[in-house]
Amino acid sequence: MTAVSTSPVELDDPEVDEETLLARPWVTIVWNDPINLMSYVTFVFQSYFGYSKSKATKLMMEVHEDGRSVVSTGSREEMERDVQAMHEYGLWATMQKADA
Amino acid sequence: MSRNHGFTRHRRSKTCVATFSAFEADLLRSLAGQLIELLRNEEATPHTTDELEALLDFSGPTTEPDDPVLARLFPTAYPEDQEAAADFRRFTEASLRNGKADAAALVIDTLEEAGLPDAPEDGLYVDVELDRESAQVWLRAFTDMRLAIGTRLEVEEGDEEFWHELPEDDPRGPVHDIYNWLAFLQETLVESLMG
Repeated sequence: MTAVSTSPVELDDPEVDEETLLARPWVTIVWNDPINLMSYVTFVFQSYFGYSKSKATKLMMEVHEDGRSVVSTGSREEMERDVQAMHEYGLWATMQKADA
Repeated sequence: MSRNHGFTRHRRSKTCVATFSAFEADLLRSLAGQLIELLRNEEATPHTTDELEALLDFSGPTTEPDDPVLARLFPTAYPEDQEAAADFRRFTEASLRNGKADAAALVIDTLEEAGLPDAPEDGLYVDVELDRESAQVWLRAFTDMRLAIGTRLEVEEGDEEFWHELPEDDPRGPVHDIYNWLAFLQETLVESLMG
């Protein structure tokens, strides 16, 4: 069990950068691999992310032709969930900050 | 090898159905069994020489598996941040391993429930019928089997000619045939699920 002090805590005025708040700063990237089937990768994008057939196909083609594609954007926690799900499906996925 | 038609969608029940020969069903069962063994074989324990650290770190591994197949099944999530990558692995790899082993186990259960005996004889056929949910699990199991075999064979994009021209006595030949057969099965299962 943990004890938590209840005495008031002073917080410095946070300097809010609106751009950072509005931006969704992490991305999930799926990389091309020579093994997974194009049809299966499209299926995964449709069934996990709920993307339309045309959007899923477009992302799959990006992976296939450019070697990688950003398949989702969001908070760090959300992207960790997505990367884990991609690994569950057998896709090669990584995550990084959106501007990296 | 693929004298069967792979999976088709049953018009009325909307399930995905396939008929396997005894040989094919037995082969699938054996591949699924090997996958389970591989997933449980290399202990999901941390690689550390620090005794205290090893004792405290009971929750999961933090470094990429040595086996290239396992490294492909459990990729590094943060390629440029070792610490974050280790944390991610610690919190996810054990459950990913279990999920993949469960998927392979479902393939075995389905085949056996469909009548595949321990020692099948020629002339026996196994009819498999998958609802939407189990079809998705089978797809993941097919993927993991193909990732395992493809990584071992070191397949590359556009290397069909290489495999086609392999000498007949090359032991990789029959393995690559199995790899292609799994691709065929998976393709027809995706089609019958989406169709």
